[in-house]
Order: sequence, then C-alpha cells, then structure tokens
Amino acid sequence: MKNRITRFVPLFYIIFLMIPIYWLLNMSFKTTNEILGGFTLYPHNFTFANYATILTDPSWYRGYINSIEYVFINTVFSVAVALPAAYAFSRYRFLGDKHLFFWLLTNRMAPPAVFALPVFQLYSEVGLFDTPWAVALAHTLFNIPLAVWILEGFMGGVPTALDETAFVDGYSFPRFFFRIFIPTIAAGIGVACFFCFMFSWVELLLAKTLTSVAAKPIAAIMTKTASASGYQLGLLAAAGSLTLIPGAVVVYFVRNYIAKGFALGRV
Amino acid sequence: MISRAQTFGLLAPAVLLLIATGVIPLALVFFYSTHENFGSEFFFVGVQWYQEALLSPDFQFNVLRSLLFSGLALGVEMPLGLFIALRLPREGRLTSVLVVLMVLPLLTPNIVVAYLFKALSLPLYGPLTWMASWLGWDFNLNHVFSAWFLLIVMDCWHWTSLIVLFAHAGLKAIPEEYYRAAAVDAATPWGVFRFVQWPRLKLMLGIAAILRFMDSFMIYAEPLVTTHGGPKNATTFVARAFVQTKKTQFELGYGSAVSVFCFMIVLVFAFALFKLTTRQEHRA
Repeated sequence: MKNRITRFVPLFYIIFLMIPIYWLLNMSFKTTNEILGGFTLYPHNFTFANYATILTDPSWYRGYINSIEYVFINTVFSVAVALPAAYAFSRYRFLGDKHLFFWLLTNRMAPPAVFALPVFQLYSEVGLFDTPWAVALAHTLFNIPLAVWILEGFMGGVPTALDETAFVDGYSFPRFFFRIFIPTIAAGIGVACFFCFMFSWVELLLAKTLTSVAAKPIAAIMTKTASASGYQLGLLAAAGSLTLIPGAVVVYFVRNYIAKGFALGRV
Repeated sequence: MISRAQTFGLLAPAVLLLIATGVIPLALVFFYSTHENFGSEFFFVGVQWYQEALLSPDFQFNVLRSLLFSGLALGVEMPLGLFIALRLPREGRLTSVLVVLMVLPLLTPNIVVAYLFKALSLPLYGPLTWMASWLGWDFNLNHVFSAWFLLIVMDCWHWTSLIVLFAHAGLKAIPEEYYRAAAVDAATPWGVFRFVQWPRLKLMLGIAAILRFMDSFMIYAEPLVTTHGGPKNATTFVARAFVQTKKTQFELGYGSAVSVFCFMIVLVFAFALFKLTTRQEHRA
C-alpha cells in the first residue's frame, strides 16, 4: 500500500511544477484588468494582444534575439574549448592534473554577482561592452568548467583502444578527433550543450551589467518594463511564456540523452 | 599518442579563457577590496573594508539570512530530489516525457520565475493566496513567515529538478548486475539503497549540493522582485546588499570586500563538501 502511494510521487511533483507554468500561460492570454480584477481559472476575455505587442515591437523582440545570440555564442565557445581540455584530462595523467581539474571546477563555483563590477570595467576597457560577445565571454566562466566535467565523464566511457587503433591505422590526431572521436561522444556533446544553454539562458546579473541598449537581453527588458509602467502582468506573462520556448526546443533534442543519464567526470 | 607539449596545447584554450574571464576579474576585485579610490587614484588601505563589512550588524544579519535560506532550500530540495529520482522509472518513453516536463522550470530565467511567483501570490486573486485562504491561512507577503515560505517554495519549484537530474544520472550509472547481486543476497530496500545506490549517488549529490548552495546563497533577483527584501529586512540577502553598494563609486572598496568574503564562504563550503564525498569513497 505504501509503495503504491509513493509510486505516484513523481506525478505529484510534475503537477506541482505544472501549476505555475499553467498560470503563466493563463495570464498571458488575459488582460491585465482581468488578472487584477478576480480569480479566473481560464481567460474569460481571451486575448492575443500581449503576444501581438511583443512580437511587433522591436524594443521587445530584439531582446529575444539578443539573448539567443549570446547564449548561442557562449554554448558553441564553451563546448569547443572544453572538448580538447576534457580529452586531455580523460586520456593523460600529468603532474598537477588533479589540482588543475579542481581549479577548473572552482571557477564554476564563483558566484556571478562577485564578477559584476570587474567585468563591467574590463569589457568596457577592451571595447566589448554592450555586445553579445561580452556576455558570451563572461558566461564561459561557469560554463567551460561544467562542459569539461560532463564531457570528461562521457569520454571516460570510451575505451582507449579506440584511440590506439586509429593511431595505428595512421590517423593523425586532428583527423581522429574530428572524424572518429567527436561522433562517438555525440551524446555527451548534446548534454554539455544543454547545460551550457540552461545556465547562460537563466543568468541575469552579468547579462544585465554588460549591456545597455544594443545587446540588452529579454530579462533586462522585462525588469525595465515592470518598473517603468507598473505591473503590466499580462504583457510580462506573455514575455515570460516566450522565454520558455527556446529551452523547450533544446530539451526536446537532448531528452533521451538526459533520460538515459549522463556520466560525470572524476572530481 | 601525442606528446606532453600537445597535451598542454589541448588544455591551453580552456585555461587561457578561464584566466581571462575568471582570474583577472577576481584579481581586480581583490585589488579594489584593499584600496580606497578617489576618482581613478587608488590608495592601499589594507583590511579596512573587510573590517567595516564584517563588523557591521547589517552585513552580519544578511550573511546569516543567506545561510539560513540556503540551508532551508537545500534541506527541502536535496531529499525531495533524491526521493523523486529513486521513484523515477529507470528508462523508457515515460522517463523521457517526465524529464522534459521536469526540466522546464530549470530553463525559466530567474526573473521570469520571480514575476511568476509574484503573480501567484498577489493579494486576493493570486492562486497561492487564494489556496491559502481556502485553508484558513492569511497568506500575506507583509508577514515574515509568508515571505520566507514563498521564497523557499519558489526555489524548490525552480531547482529541485536539477537534483533529480543529477541523482537520476548517478542511479543510471549503476550496472544492472549490482541490483541482481543484491536480490540474490536478499537485500532489503534499505540495504540496496545504502550499499548499492548511495555509494554511486553520493558524489553526484555532493556536486548538485555545491551548485545549489552557491546559487541559493547568492540569490538576488527573486527576493528583489517578490518581497523587495521585506518585510523590513527579513528577506534581504548578501547579494542584494553588495550589488546595491557597488552601484555607487564611493563604495567600490566595501562592495569588493563583501564580494571576496562571499566567494570565500562558497569556496570553503564547496571544498568541505568535496572532501566529505571523496574521502568516504575511498573507505567504502
């Protein structure tokens, strides 16, 4: 009996997670008056006006483009430099490798808030302020360590015999790496991309600090609107609902890899 | 095989990039934290800013509140996440569907979560307030308990799935044979958990706990939007305090000293947890 109840725990948990998401969607199709005027389980005055505002006003939709831009650059960059590093950690033992690996991970533990001020000054100094590159670079701080760690875990599961056979067969290192090794750990790359995407997409503080107008992320636009015009809850809900879409697309592609479980590297 | 020089060549891009984005900014923060500035001129002041921060009761309470918040958030999220992961089917279509649904909160930007929960807890017509009053509870963000309750529920909603994912990954790494061997030995469910699952899970949970500790200790946007740090200062945490002070040029040193101090707390916690999880592994 007890077992029968606990079997439904994941289901209860999903319901707990879905209620706020339903409410977000629910509000996004309501007028702000309806949200503030009463408790309604579904929109009585169904409206697309909130979405129409966002999708036609460049000061809104530019925010999505900006965010996607830096998240994309960051993900590509982080995984690209993490791949060779993870390979080195997984295949070779060298003096101080454990310390280097731990140092790498400490970067993931550095709170972004700590970096808000110095990165502002540094990126202004080199002329990257208010570009997607600034945010993308700043976010590599926590995404490279994570990517190295995830990829190292996947690479650990690939027998070294694969490398050795390839080298015996006369493959050069780059040819082996791109033609054989990368396809072998495609699942790991997918999972690493997912986590890089996730942490870069939800981060606000650094993204807000490093941009002003041209590269402003959607989250910063939301805070500005909220404080400038009182709470236009319908509009904010629509904007929030739209931020779920890119993530949902990404997770759709990697769902099986994540469900299968991802190996994680040594620590 | 590749040579030692090539090994370092493989590591170089990642290491150099992390030096540029991590080590240099951190060095700069450390420099500010030990200097006073007038315009662009800097004077060395030693530990003055640290003293000022650590001796101020405001700051002390902020740190204590942040620690309490992290403690409560992790205290709910870790056991809950672990429990759900243990109940999650090992594989199959259902698992994929559940994973996609569970991951949605993780992909919601902090600020969206903050506005969403603000809307959920609107006076009168927010569903949370509505449900609370149905249960006979006067849910009101002007009460300390309600404000904390909201922040904890919000954090659990947002991040428990991360623990589930990590624990699930740890469980999947256990070969099927281990379970069969345990069944042959007629192990109790507790025995299976303690001697088959826990040794593999511990490290994953440790890492998840470090990630969650760091993010919850530095929580910023959520209390700012939902409770404005109130009632009074009941939900003001460290990140808010030093982001505020850093905005004004005059408090550059003070803000930096607070930053360095917070980084230290996170590092000490991470290192302790790391030692704890890896040390037991050698013994087991």
